[in-house]
Amino acid sequence: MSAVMSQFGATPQDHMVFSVVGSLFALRLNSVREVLRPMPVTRVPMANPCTAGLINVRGTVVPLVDPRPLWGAEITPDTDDTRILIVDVPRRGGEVIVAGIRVDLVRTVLPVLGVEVRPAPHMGLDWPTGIVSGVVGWGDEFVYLLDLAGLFTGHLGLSSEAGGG
Amino acid sequence: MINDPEAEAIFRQEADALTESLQSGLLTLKAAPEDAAVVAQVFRDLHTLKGTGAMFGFGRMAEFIHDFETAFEAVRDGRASVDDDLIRVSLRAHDIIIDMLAGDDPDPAVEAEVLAALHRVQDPTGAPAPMAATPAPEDAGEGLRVSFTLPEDLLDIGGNPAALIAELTALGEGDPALSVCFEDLPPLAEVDPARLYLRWQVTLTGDVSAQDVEDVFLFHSDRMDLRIEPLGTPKAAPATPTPNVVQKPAARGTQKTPQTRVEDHIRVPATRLDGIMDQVGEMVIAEARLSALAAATGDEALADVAETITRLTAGLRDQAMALRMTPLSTITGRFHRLAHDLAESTGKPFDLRIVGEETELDKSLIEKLAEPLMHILRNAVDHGLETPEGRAAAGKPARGLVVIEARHSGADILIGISDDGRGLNPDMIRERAIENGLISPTDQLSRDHLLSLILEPGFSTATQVTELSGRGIGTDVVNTMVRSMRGQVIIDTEEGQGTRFILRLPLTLAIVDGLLVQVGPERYVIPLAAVSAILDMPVGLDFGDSVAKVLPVRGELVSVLSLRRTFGIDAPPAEHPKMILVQSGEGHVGISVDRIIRVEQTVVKQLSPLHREVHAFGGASVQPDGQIALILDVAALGHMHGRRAIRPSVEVPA
Repeated sequence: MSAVMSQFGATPQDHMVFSVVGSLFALRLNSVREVLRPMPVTRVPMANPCTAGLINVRGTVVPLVDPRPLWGAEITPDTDDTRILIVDVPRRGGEVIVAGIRVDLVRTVLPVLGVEVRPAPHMGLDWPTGIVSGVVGWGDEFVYLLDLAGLFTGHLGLSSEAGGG
Repeated sequence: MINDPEAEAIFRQEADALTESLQSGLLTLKAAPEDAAVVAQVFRDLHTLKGTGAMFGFGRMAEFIHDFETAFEAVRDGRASVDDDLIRVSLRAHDIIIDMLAGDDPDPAVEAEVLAALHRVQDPTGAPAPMAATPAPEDAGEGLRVSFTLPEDLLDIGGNPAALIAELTALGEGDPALSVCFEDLPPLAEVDPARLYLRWQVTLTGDVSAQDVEDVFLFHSDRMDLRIEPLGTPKAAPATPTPNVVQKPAARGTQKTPQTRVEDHIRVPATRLDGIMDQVGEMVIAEARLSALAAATGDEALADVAETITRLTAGLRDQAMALRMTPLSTITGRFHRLAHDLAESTGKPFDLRIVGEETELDKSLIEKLAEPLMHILRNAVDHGLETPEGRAAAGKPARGLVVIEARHSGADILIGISDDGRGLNPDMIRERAIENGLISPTDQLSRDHLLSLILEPGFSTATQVTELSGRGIGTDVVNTMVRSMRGQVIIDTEEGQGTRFILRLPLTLAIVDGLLVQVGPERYVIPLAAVSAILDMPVGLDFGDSVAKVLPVRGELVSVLSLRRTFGIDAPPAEHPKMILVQSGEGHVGISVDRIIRVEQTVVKQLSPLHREVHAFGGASVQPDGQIALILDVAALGHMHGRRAIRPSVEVPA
């Protein structure tokens, strides 16, 4: 909790709110490079189903993460609302990895105050542990703050060391 | 303290270079303890590290280095000498610096021990400093005439001309005659106040040897013009010349030499080079399209422009490639260090000789090469070299020899690591491979194939895992890493004579000539360098549920992979599939595809670390239509399926 507090302080931080398999998640706006509409995806054979895609973002080859299998859900075809968030995944040593995350719907941008953030429950969630750093109430809904480093190193096989692969 | 990430990144790069230089200096001193130029280098490296370290908030490290530096100051000034103990403690101190740079706190006990040892160097109890006790009085005569210019950039490296001159003049008796010559002084407007332009002439009388004079300039002698003449000989110049008199065109020439030797270097983040490489790659593709267009339209003016563009692009590509080329010497310091540690820990004295350090290869490859090379070196010493007693029994010199040799061969680089140890025993390898289930007792394998088994996962030649080879990576990982660089490991051995590992690698990973193929709706690129032949698949061949089949191809039994099955591509088989015969290890592997689209030159985009575990691909290529095609790593594919395909019973279609 105190780690989360110190990240935010007293000034609100803008977060992008989106939904994956029916739950709302948020990422700090400054870790989202852009939001793209669905585009052709090149399949990577023999890869983890969550990371089995590549997309061409203006000449750069970017891995596409579909988190649905982590939720225990099937990968579904694109809809009109499907979006790809291009995000910076931090690694130790200041290096970042650029990756795309396929989400069901982008809802809004929400200012979040550090004091509003509560620790996420450890049990009873649809997704694996270690990928959210906290939760905030939004109207009568909950928004879970996604921890990119936790998601990528804990569940998508990225080593946390820079240059480690 | 400076708090700027970009500046700190530069500091870290510099610190890496300095610590590397420091380590290699220390190891050079181990072999040549008297080499004053190296002592000076070590001192300078420490000094610079201390200064910049303090600027970037490494205060504790700066304090530590200060003591380290003081020890080498004592050596430089002749108050202490270099011996094995000093080198050992200095190498440990070097490791502590590395830890501190990495932000880790060193073990206080170790730090204290190292510091204490360094203090003993500066202040040896009782014993007189050996260097000061070795004067060379043989040249003693009535006096010397010394004429010299100092290195132009002496001030930059912290030198003090006044102190040098004072030291020099103190050698003579009475008041020395000192004159200065302005011959090389440029016009005032061009004078750089931080440069030295003057030639000095000093007449020393009394009992002075040339050696004493040379000692004064010990640290600069390779970069200055120093002439020493006995006073009795005919003068090249008047003993007490008036300014402007000393007229030496040769002196001018020698003085210019250091200037021309200093190349201008710019540090550039590697990502910018990658950016240039990407752009050049795109340009190569666009140029190919332009040429095709020019050929199709038959317009002479257009063809003319296209030809010029082709030439310019080729030049640009070569230049861009050259930017990424780095000599092997940037990593060899680590090998010397490892060799030093290995010799101590195994009790097997040996020499490490590195040939062809100046050989250049792609920067991204160099970094990846360090680990496999160090592992092979470790193995060579641990398993290859015999103990001194064993060597004596075999009639070999007591000191072993390990040679690392690098050279270019066409578009490849060859790096050999050979030892003069006991060599590999093919029969023992065979036994062991059968034991581990890698081959069956009935398998007939060629000698090369047998030797290559030691690169397989789950094979270990040493019957017990030693402390050395137990840590780090296994030989199979060496193989995997080299293959991931589109390279190959070749083993050559002579029992009782030694073993040689040869790593064959492409010079660059940035651009590749590829064969674009299609399977179902998917497209892949196969590096053309690996392709031996393109054949038709036998009519009516059905892979069924298997991923590969063994077929007779040109008198050789070849395992042929179905890319459709290997990659799980869900599409009906093509009517006339093709087989692409590729070189893999010492044999061939066939790859079955639906159709061949074209040959193209393509820029290799590295896959993200997220796909580190997917070995089948060496990168990705962006096609002119924006689609991405994955580039097959043929060696890895062959490796994944080769063995599996050989084991089942051989089916030959009629």
